[in-house]
Amino acid sequence: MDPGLIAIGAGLAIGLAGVGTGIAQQGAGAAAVGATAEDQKNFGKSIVFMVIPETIVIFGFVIAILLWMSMGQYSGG
Amino acid sequence: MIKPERMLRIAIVGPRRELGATVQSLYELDLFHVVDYLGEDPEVKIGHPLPQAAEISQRLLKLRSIVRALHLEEFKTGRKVPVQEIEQTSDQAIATLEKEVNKRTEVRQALTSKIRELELQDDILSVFAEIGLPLDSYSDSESLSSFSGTAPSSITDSIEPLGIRAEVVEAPHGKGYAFSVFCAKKDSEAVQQALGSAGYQEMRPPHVSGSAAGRIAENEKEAEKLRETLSGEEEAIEGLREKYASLVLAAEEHYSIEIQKAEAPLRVATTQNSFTIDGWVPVSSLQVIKAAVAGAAGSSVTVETLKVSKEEMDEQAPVKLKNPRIAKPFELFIELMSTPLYREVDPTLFVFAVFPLFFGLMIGDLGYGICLMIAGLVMWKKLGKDSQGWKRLGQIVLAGGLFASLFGLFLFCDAFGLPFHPVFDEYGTPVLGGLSWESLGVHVPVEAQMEKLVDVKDLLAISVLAAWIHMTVGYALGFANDWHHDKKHAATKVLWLFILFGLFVQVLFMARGSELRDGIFLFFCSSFNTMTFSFSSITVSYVAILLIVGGIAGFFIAHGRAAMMELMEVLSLLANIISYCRIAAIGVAKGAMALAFNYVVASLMFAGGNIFLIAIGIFVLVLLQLIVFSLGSLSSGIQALRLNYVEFFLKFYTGGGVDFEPLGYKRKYSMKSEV
Repeated sequence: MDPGLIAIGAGLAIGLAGVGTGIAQQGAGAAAVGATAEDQKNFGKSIVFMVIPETIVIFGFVIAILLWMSMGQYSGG
Repeated sequence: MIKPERMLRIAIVGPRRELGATVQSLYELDLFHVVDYLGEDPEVKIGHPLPQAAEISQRLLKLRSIVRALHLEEFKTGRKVPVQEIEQTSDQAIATLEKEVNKRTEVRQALTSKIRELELQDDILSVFAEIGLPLDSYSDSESLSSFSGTAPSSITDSIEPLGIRAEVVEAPHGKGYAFSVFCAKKDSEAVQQALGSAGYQEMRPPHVSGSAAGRIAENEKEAEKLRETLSGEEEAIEGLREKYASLVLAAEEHYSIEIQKAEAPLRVATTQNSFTIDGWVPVSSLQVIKAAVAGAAGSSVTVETLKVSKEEMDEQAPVKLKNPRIAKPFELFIELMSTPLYREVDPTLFVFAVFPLFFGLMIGDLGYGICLMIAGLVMWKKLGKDSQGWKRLGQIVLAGGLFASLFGLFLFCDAFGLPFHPVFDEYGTPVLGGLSWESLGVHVPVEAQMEKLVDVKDLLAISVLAAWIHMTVGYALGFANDWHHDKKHAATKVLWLFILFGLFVQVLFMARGSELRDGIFLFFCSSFNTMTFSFSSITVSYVAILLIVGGIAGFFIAHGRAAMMELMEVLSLLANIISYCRIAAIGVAKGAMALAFNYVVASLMFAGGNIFLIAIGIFVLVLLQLIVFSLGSLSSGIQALRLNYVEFFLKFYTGGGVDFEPLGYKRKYSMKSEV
């Protein structure tokens, strides 16, 4: 397989996952800022809700790393 | 140890005349959490404030008015005033001071508004000065009307088409025109309409005589005089501030405490002759309370321990976290989340053990670690002087920085994103041209155990191992929390432990390939490493499948159909495990960013051997390093916290407990005098 295609795949994996996280975080982030502005005590919970979608980009990262590492097998030739 | 401080519910009962002395002694102890009496029993009334309350609140009213008038809220005082000195200050003195302060601030206000008025009049007069007519010509007459003001364009063009007799005087003003129009009274409506459609802004001439320009000069003179008087008043007020600030602030604080004490009976049950104060104390402090109350109010007041059912205890007992001194700062994170329930485990110790470790792994850099330790020390010693929050945050950052430095020195061997020695990838090619501290002439005799940019899979494996350990502890705590409360829930936690281990084992089977990963694999799976089957080129462990399926079967036995929901949760548990990969992700991403910046700037800097280029290069490099440092620290901190809050706490934590808020006070401006 062409290692270039694998590299594109890895890039897409983390790039699209990042976009997904961004979309999910825009709502959570806005609400979190609102809640914290209303009452400082909500800060801790807000942070938690705010970073929950970040797991999505971590999935993308893991896949990208696995793809990137597997490029070695194909690039030798 | 890992539970909050054990509490006892007590009632303090005594004759009413001793209520004041009892409340006084409880306030000094800072150990008694009052349960407010809400008047449930019609025979027993809510108490009345102590007799001195009215007098104290009068005094407070005056003091607070002085604080506001002198803007003392943000004032930093140099000394703490002894309570004795405050109490010697007579009401007469406070009243005199209040009068003087009020008089001076009123004078100041009057002067400021007079100056403002003159300035406004000058603004208007400047328009009339441009028009140039004497101000007397605007005075009312029986047959003439006058309109004055400003307009964006010339007014003559709007008035002429009306075909009436009107006199227009115009002068350019700013971007438009200033003008006056005189016409016969009967035409005034038509003129007004024409002016309106030209977009004019009306200005009424002030009722003064003479020329506008002369008037402006007079006003200036008067305003100057007023300003002089004002600055004299300001100085006098500043003098009052300097002279009385510490006393006033201390007195305000002292009487705020006294009024709290005097109003404490409003939270207490009283009959005609007796009182009962209901509340909670830490078990360890019962004797202290007994001794203090007996000392202050004599033997007529008794302290009784009340019997409380377990449910009531779990629901109502206030929570005072109890941790060793070294772990105390991490209580900040628990408070940010929510106070644990009385029956729950207090997770502070676990956060204390894990947070700096995760944070350190993510930063993993000697240079940034040392910077973080310095930042932590500054927060603790400088900013933390007045703020508990900063103090604790500083201590946490210090601990995180320490671990970051240790990992940076011994595990990753890099500082400021630059490795100590050249890094080679798996084919033996130097990464980024072998840029390292060694190539810059700095030799550190420590060899890296792991390279952030090469051994990413190993870092991922460490993250997964951390996930398993952390969440296993989480489920174990969940089991401990639920055991006395709900056996079925507790059993579910055990099933989750099986599933978690199954998932972990399966990940290990898939992750083999390096010395470290094989080491972890053999440590956990050596006894069953051949019991596998192959599924589309993935090695699947029978043991892992057995553990996961066994766990799920357990859910169905325990919950029947409701277990379908739990089935979905298996997937989120897998997501949780992968979620720990953020430890590797942030470490790698931050390391790569720093190295890339270093590489790009260094190669440009030394390209021409130009001093100017080198100077710019150093400036840019410092800037970029600062970005990596601040972004990296912030995200590492938040992500390490998140792993605790989301992946760990959700396995066992309910929260929502009642904070332990004992009667007591903190003095900032005043101090209790030694007797």
